[in-house]
Amino acid sequence: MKRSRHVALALLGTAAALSGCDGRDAEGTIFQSLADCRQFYDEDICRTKASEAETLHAQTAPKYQSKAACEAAFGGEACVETPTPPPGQEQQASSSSWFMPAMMGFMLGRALSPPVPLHYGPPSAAGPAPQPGRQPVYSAGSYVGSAPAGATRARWSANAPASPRVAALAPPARGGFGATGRGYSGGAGS
Amino acid sequence: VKRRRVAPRPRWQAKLEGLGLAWHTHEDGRPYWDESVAYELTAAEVDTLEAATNELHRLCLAAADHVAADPELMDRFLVPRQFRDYVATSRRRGDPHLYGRFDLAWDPATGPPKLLEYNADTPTCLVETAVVQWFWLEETHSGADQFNSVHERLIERWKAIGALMPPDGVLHLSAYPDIDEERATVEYLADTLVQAGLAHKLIGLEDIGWSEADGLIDLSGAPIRFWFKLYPWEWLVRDQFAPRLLEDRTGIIEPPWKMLLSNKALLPLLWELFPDHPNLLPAAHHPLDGDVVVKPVLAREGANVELRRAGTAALATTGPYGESPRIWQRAAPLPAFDGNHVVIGSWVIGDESGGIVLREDESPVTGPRSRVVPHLFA
Repeated sequence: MKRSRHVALALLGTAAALSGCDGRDAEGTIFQSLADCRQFYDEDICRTKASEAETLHAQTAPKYQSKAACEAAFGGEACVETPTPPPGQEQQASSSSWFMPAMMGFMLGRALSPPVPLHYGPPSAAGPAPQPGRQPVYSAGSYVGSAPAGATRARWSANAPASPRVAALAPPARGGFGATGRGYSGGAGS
Repeated sequence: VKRRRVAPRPRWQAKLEGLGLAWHTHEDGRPYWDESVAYELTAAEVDTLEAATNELHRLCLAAADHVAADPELMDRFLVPRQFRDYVATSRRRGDPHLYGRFDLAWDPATGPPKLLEYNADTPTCLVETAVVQWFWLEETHSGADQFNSVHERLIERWKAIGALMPPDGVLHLSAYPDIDEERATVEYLADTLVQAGLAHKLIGLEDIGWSEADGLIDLSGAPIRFWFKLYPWEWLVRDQFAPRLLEDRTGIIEPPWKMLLSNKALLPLLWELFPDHPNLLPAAHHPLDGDVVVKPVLAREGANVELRRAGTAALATTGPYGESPRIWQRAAPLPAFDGNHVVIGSWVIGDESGGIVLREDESPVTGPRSRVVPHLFA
């Protein structure tokens, strides 16, 4: 016999169930502060993922030219200023800053997935009906999960106190692998 | 070899997704995995393929030893000069390796299987081979056999590699997290690691860091001592962190010497070392007469391949590797079944033949649009 007698999968079925067809996780754990995150992951992971989430958020959140326009959509005190222009408007010199809904946290799926930045959606936004006692949260315009009802419009703060150990370390170099392959279309397999 | 039309299992797409294979259908709706077709081999044909695979792997190891003893040859393989010693050392000390996949052309009516190339570094189709076609057989032809013990052999191979690691050693597995196929491949390998009793961590390729004190590190700052990379060496040696690899503080799978085998310059070298071997096709770094296939030394997934008949381009694929130096290989016509050209992917796990996966295509050049089809034998 030249076939495996038995093919058992310890992890794969479970992992696959979490993965949407578009490659983006549909589930994960939502963190609204570094302290939240540190209960689950190492400080370094939390800081790295939070920083990635902030970058992604600045790139993907809806942008408005005035704070008033943003607040009209997302509610009072919900918006923050950002220097990152919306896609396609990088050349527009008339407005050097923009307003976007504040990041309220981020979601981490599996270890390999990028973090998903989250902000509260507009009060009237379409999407799945929120469960009683929970408010919908949104990422880049699409519904991804629910935040506990107790979550207020608290803003994400990456400047929360860090442990002295982390503060004392020089940040390691990262991102030194993978760039060559990104220069080609398609994957790394053959 | 016979090609048969068979009835696909009801809801086969959901079954594949349950096994972690979400990319079963191309964007245009054509199948990537096609179970409306199955190939039926004889036991004697399977024995021929197994013997040819073991023989070809033996030749390839001899070629790697040859280059390790004469590192000047690495120029032909476009190995950066500063990596020559690193590659040669890794071969001489016998750094362990996990797997590879030969692409073979074989029409049993005309002669022995012929080597097209060796995907010895980052072979794809692993989940398709080891898991998907195995469950297809189990659910549709449970009494039949299949040339496929890839899953069991992977677990055994990990145990052998684990025996070379310290008892508390952790193996990091990396991939591009946004490419489904690659993420699923490392998740499957993580599964086999668990079953082999080894500890592992997954990390996005671009999340890997480096520090003076620990060398390559993961997101928690822990050193990466053992690393399954799923990223080709020819790209790794051109990345920003490439000089860090020369510190040689991390055991990498596939090991550096595999960059000699996953490279089209292997084909002319094999022909030089083993001329007229029945499983090899004539190959050279210069034009050959007759029907030839011209391939870039460094290329992937059938890109920039040109089929030339009597000096004239008969068929060419596009791709991003147009600037790479070429090799010439005598064309081995792929057998066609109902107009479908078949390439046999033949797996080597550790140093032994472990099974096959078949891909068919209307085009005589197999590429990423080819269909993966199941097989069985009586």
